[in-house]
Amino acid sequence: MLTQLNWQGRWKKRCLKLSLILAMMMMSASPSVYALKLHAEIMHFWISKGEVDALNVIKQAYEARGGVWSETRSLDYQQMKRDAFVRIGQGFPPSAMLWLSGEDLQHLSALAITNNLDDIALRENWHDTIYEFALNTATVNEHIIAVPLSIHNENWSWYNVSIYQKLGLEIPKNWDQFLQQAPIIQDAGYIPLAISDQEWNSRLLFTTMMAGIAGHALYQQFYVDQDPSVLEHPKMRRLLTIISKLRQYAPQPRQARSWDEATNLVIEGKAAMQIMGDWAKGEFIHASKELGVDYICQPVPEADNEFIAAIDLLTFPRTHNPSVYAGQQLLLETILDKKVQVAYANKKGSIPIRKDIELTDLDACTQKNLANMSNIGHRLLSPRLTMSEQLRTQVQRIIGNFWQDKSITVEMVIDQLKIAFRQESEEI
Amino acid sequence: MIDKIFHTDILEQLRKPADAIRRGYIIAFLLITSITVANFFIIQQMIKSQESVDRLIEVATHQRAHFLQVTHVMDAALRSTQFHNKNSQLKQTTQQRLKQLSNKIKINQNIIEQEFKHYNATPSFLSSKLNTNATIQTLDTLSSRTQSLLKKMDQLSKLNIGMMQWRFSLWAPIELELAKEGMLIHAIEDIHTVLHDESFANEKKLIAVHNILFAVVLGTLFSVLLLVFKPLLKQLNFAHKQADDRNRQLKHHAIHDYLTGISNRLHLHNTFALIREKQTQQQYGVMMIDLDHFKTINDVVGYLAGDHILKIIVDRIRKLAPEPDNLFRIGGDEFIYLDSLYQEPEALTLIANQFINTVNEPILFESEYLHISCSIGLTAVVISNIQENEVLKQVDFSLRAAKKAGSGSVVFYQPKGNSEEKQITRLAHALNNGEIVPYYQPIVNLKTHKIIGVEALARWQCPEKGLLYPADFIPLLEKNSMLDLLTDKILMAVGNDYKSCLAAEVDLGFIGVNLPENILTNRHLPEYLKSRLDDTHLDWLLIEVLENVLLHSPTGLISNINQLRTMGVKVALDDFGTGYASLSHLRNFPCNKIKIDKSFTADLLLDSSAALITKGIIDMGHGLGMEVVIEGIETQEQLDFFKPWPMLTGQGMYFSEAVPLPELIEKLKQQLTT
Repeated sequence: MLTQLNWQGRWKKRCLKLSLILAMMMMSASPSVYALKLHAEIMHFWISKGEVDALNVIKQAYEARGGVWSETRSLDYQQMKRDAFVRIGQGFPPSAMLWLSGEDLQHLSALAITNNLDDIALRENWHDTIYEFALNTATVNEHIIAVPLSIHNENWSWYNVSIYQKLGLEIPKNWDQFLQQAPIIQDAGYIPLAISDQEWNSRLLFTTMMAGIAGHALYQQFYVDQDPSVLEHPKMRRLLTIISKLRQYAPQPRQARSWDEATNLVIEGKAAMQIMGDWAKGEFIHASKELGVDYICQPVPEADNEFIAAIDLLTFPRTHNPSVYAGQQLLLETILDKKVQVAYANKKGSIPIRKDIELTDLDACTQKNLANMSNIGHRLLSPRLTMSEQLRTQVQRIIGNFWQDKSITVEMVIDQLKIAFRQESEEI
Repeated sequence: MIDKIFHTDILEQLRKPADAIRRGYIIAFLLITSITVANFFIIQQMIKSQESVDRLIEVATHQRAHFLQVTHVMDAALRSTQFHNKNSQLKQTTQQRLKQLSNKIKINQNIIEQEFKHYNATPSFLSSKLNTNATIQTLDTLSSRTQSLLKKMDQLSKLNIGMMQWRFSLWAPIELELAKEGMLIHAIEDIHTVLHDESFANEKKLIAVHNILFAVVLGTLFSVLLLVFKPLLKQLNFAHKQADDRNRQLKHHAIHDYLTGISNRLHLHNTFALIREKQTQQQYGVMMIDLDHFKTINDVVGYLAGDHILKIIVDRIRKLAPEPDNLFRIGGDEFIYLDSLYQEPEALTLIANQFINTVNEPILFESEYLHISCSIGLTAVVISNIQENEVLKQVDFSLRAAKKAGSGSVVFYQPKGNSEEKQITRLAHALNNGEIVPYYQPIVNLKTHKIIGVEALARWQCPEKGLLYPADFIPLLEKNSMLDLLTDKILMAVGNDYKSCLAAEVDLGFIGVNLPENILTNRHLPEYLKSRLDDTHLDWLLIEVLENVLLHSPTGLISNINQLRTMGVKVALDDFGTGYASLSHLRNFPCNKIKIDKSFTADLLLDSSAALITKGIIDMGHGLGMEVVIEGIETQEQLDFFKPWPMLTGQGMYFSEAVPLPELIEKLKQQLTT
């Protein structure tokens, strides 16, 4: 560990020197300037249309700054990590990796393979310009090792306006109301609730219900304190019962294999509603749908004011190549640019990480989002940021199975969850 | 005795280096053995340590392979989950594989830790690379990281396969640790490198030690050669040289005369053999020098004087001799000088005369002048063509002639005297060959004609000349002092013949034998007779003594006769009347018989005085109580003359000539039957 720190120190000095030399060379504008063009190669899993659009904002901005942009896409976050690690192991890491906040970042920090950004944060005054809680998620052991890219809220539901108008239904205030609407919607030939086959989609449904049905306190008790006694709470039984009922109103298997396909069901008017984070908005924007006309964004029923924060981060694998390092610096600069932040957030559906953004630059959804986020008493963190990896993945697996397998009863789920909690406590 | 002294001395000389060689061998053997054993153990130890390092390298190689397999298994598992594959077969295989790998890694890690613990315990100069701080640190890293890897693998293997991808905290560190640049891979590769370096260093060390040991062995061999064997060889050479010297000395002594230092008889023999080997036809002059009356000087002045004289004479002769080394001492006072430069007899004679002159000069011994002379016999021969004995015989012959000519004479060998020489040789041959035997002439009672005894007479049954009588050979024998030999032969034959008569059961009475004066006076006469006749009872023997022997009345004769008579031997005075013995001699001589010489018998009837003397002798003999024997009775008339004396006995052609034994036995048998 000591050697690693020493190494880091040495590396820092060396990088500084090299960047200085590089800068001088660039300023001299020698004919070899083309050869010295800075590169960014980003590994990510933003493959939905909205995500691609959002990323293109950064790409264009980077290219506008003279950088050469390239990216490597993976099908999902897990695969991306695996691909990235294979490359890191083989000694040709990408210059940046998309990363999710939470325990993953701690593990990444422990592996000491990414750049420490403390110096830049200090130089660029991140603590003043970036939301503190967001920056905190990029910090491990008081060292900033990632840059927050955008702030997401998981607590959103998306409604197809035309279906609801056609069937003469109002946007449900609570889950009971939705359960009353669901048979009607289904009978009309629409899918009442668009949840994809991806496990984390059903997890997200469960999480938002925890924030709504169970409420802020139980959410904290469950996800932060990891207290299994929550499972005994009557609200939990109701929550799970509602999920068990909702299972029949979901799409057929493989009808929506990923979250964006589920969103598309809503966009195309095949499904009435989807529970998904604010990033779903990117899909609607890409499809040129108009907020309030074609679709409506609402907090998940019964969770009106809760904000379940999930932060997208960008990490920068260490490099021995000074030009790659310089490319990373350019990328950082690009990301944190105010205009880029706004443009990106609008495409992505997220909240910019900078505090100094004019509200007028943002759409209604985002404005509402921002308002909720500012209410610290209602601000929750996505389970990824609070729960241990083992328990979190277990819970996700149990809920996922529960969603997929209609034979699993509420009692069974509770028992399974209890076992998972017990295993977790034994593990500790 | 002298030989023995020399022998042990040489053995002693040789034993010293032999002991030293034995010691040297033992030292060298022990040294080389101990070096070889040390060599063996050092090399063995190094090979052992090398083997252990090699084993570790193998383990490390396997460990690295296992690590890589872990990533492969994990990658496969992670990849398969991508398609939501819930294949339980895959899950089982993955879990099984991970567990197997986990076990193998655990075992290998244990081996590595144990082996290194062992290295850490050994002092640093033995395994330089394996217990440095850097290595210990690497080993710690390897150990802790392997432990955490095993823990994570354990956790992973417990997971449902679909869950793996979600457990970034488990797989990512494994992936990274086991990546190309991963810490664990680094650690195991570092260990690998260290081991390789150690192996290489060991090899270098082994080569160095091997070279050193080789040098040590070589050095030891050289030092053994220089410090042990070289002195030994020197000593051995010295001893060998000494032994050689002794040998040469011995050889010198063997062929040289101890007193005078000149060559001896053996050397002369060798010299002759050498000349004969060369087959040279050159004539050699041979000189035999004999000191006159040397024995007398020895007896009178003492042997020290004799030795002194010999030395002085040898010195003088050598000074004069053209070839001083050719002087040989072949007897007490006999020398041979060999003249290889021989040209003519006159020159050799001249040299001989010079020798005689120089010998004649007085010799000072203890303030007294001694005088001695010598006689020299010469000959000239081609040695290759002639036997050594013959050469010596020739020169001896001429020496005898010189002696006869008087002291200080020189005689050159004359081949003219060859016939007598040949006769002697022939006679000696005849004696040795049994050609000269006793014939027996009967002695009879003149009245009854009965044989009462016989006289043994020597006869030479010569194959070339027929029967020869003593007159034909006795003088020659006498001249050459061979009479004793004849007496010997005759006595032995007589003893045998007497036994043959006893065996044939005939009584021949007595046998008369003539003995020469020197035998008669020999102090050991009785023993001599007993041994020659091979009989202890000699009452059948008659000794005939010639009358003229009495004239000398030599000492010992009378006592010998008396002694013989007590033994029953009879004694007769032979050929009585021819000599000059006085009657007083007769009176004092204790004999049994008188034999009247045959000259009286022959003259009886022709010369009256002869008859008168014969009568007188007979009467006188009878008067003295002696038996009287008449010799040479050849006719009836002669026999008749003796009729008046009834007691007489006689012999002669009238009765029988001397006959060989078988004939005698025949006669005696006839006498028995009549």
